[in-house]
Amino acid sequence: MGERFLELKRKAFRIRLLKSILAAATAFFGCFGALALLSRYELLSIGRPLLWTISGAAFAAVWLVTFFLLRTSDRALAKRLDRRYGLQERVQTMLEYQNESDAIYELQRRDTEKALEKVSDQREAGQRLWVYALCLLLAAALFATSFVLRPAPEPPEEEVSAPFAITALQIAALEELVRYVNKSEMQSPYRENVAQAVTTLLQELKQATTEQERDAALSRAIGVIGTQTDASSAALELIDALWLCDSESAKLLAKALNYYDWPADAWETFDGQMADFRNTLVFTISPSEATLLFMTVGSHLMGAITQSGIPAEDGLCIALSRIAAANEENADGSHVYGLCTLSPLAELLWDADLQIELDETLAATSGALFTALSQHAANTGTGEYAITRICELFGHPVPKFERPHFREVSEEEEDGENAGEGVGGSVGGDAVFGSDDLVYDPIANEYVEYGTILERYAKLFRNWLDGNHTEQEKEAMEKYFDILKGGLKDEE
Amino acid sequence: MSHLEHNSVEIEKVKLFSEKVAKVKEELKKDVVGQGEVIDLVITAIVAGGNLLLEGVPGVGKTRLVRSLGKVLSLPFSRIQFTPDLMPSDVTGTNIVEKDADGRLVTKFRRGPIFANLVLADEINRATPKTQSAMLEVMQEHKVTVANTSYRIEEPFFVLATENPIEQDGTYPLPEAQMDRFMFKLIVGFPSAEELSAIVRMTQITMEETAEAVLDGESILEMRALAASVPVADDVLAYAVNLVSNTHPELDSSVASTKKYVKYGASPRAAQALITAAKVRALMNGRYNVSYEDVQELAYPVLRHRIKINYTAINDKLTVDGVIGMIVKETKKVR
Repeated sequence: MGERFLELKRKAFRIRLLKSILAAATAFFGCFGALALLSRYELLSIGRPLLWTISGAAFAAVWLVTFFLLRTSDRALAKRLDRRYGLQERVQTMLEYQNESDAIYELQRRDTEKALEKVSDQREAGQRLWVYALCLLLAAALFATSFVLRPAPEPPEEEVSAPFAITALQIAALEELVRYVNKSEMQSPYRENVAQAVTTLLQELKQATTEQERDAALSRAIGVIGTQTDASSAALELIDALWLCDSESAKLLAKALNYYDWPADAWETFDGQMADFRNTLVFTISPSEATLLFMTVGSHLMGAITQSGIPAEDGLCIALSRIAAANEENADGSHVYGLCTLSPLAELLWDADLQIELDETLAATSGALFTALSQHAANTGTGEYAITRICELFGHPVPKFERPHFREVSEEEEDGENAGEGVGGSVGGDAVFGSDDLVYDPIANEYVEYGTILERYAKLFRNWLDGNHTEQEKEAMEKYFDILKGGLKDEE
Repeated sequence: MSHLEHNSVEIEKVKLFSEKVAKVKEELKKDVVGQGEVIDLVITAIVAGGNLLLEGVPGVGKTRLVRSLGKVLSLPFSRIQFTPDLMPSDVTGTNIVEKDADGRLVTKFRRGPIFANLVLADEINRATPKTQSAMLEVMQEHKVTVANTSYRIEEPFFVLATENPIEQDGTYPLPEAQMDRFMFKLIVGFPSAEELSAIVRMTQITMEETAEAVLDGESILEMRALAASVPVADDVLAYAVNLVSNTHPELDSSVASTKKYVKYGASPRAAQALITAAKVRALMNGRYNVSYEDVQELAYPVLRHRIKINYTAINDKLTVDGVIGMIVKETKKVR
């Protein structure tokens, strides 16, 4: 093999080495620059040490692969030289017959060496090197850009919070809740009070250092909001008062009002119950009985309004007062049959003027009652939503919201199958059916069915706890426990 | 003689090769005006030891070229004018009965005109196939067999045949087997106006060939041996083989042009002729190895009488050379 060919072979090796280094450097700069930019724009989260490691690995891998791929055998080099420099297959022939020693081969080798002398070193060295250099330049530019641009901030370390510590999400949710309450239709000052309670809760939770402190703050806030909700709902007291009336009609009215959370439905139910009321009157044919009934209902309504202790200016109170007043007015002597406040009875009595008057009164009352119920629904809904939301946010059990305590009418009762039977009561808003056993009523001084007296017992108990009991109730209670004690003695 | 000394002598011989070729060309040009490429190929075939078929219209100098060549090579030269009534024995010679010194009748072989180093078979396609076939053995094996006795022809031996492509009446196309014996088929074209003027002026002085002998039989054999030793790279050899293979339409590997335009392809002798002639061409060009270019250039004279184009090619107004050009273009070099 000729010296010139060996020289070119060594040159080819050097070029191969240079190219592989250029390619590896391109990979390093390109990889570093690209990853750094991705990290900069938060498309990738990668730290500087890892960035250097990955880029270094890319350098090594690309160098190895390129150095391997660019390897050239003597035969390939010979062919390339022949082709590139138009040597008419001199070099490959020389290579194939390098071990022959005859004159013709000697001449062929000399001829080839002579031809190879004309091969330009510069041209041979410069094959496609500019492509590698250009790629390196671009990669270096990318690399430099990644340094010029501000590096992405290191991702903040995740705060390891204690189980009781309030999270950013919870803070945001409570702040949103405050905004919601402030924008709600809840009446003032209940709205401000509820918002303040949530704000206070937020401050307390931020400062809470134990789980107990957190729970206490939650309980306090729920209590305050519950109080405000109850205070803003005059319907609750009215319903309680109506339920305690002896009049069945008043109870039906109370039951209708029980659905104050849904004003439209409530009104529909109320309207239905009023129709029942009218029907009851229709069958009370005797004018004297009707007069008495109307007066009783009117007085019971007024009594219930008074007993509920709610302000006279409350919308619901005003609406019901109008019903009561209408009943009272129609029961006086101005109309012979003025006791008939409702259309069926009016029709029965053939009094058209009375019919019109009563219908107008009832329509006006209905509108006022609807408006009043809407406000009560807004008050209660806002309060209860705030409580529910707080409980959900902190995994706190949602309290059972208090509902009027009166007897539920089961479907069976409504069908008339078991009318007058199946007595029971409700506790905390849930219907609980008691037994049919007789129990002693200390006030009436007689044994009555358990279910019929349960509500009265509940009210007595609440009054007792609040210290609002009367002397009569106190005596009745002492008598009741004496009897119980006596019963125990008897058993002994 | 040491190896180095031997090599020095050989190297000198190689260097003399080009000089000898140059001298032959120079002498031939004294009698033949123009036709430079034809002269090169004739010399190539002579050195390579191949027979030549010269095709051209009458008067373009075919016979003159061969006669002049005979003088330049200073070889015994004979000319056979092929005619329809020419018999094989008129070519090869025949046994005759004559009396010996004792007066007994004995058979004696009388040598025909084929027994020369350089034979001009003029208008070879005018002879009948039977007579043409008499040339087969001598062209391939350089021997003549008559009555079960073989007579070897002295080396070097060449047959240079001429044929006229125009006159079809009273001619017998050469059979394929005969054609295959010719290394090259050369087309002697009509001279240019300038060349024609030179020819006219030259022949006004004398019609005789003026070329002088510059080579002898021994030198030609030496040159042939030297050319045979020229190295060929494996890829170039493979290329020549592929080129010949690609002329066969029945082969799956052949190129598209072949499948479309070729009726039948060249024989293995074509590949042998290609490489042998390519070696001579390389030396004539002062190179000591065969290149792709040598093979490509020689593909035309080597293949044009060995492949038969089909009617599609004729319909597409393609010549044999045109189809060969397409095959050369489509045959891929080993890179």
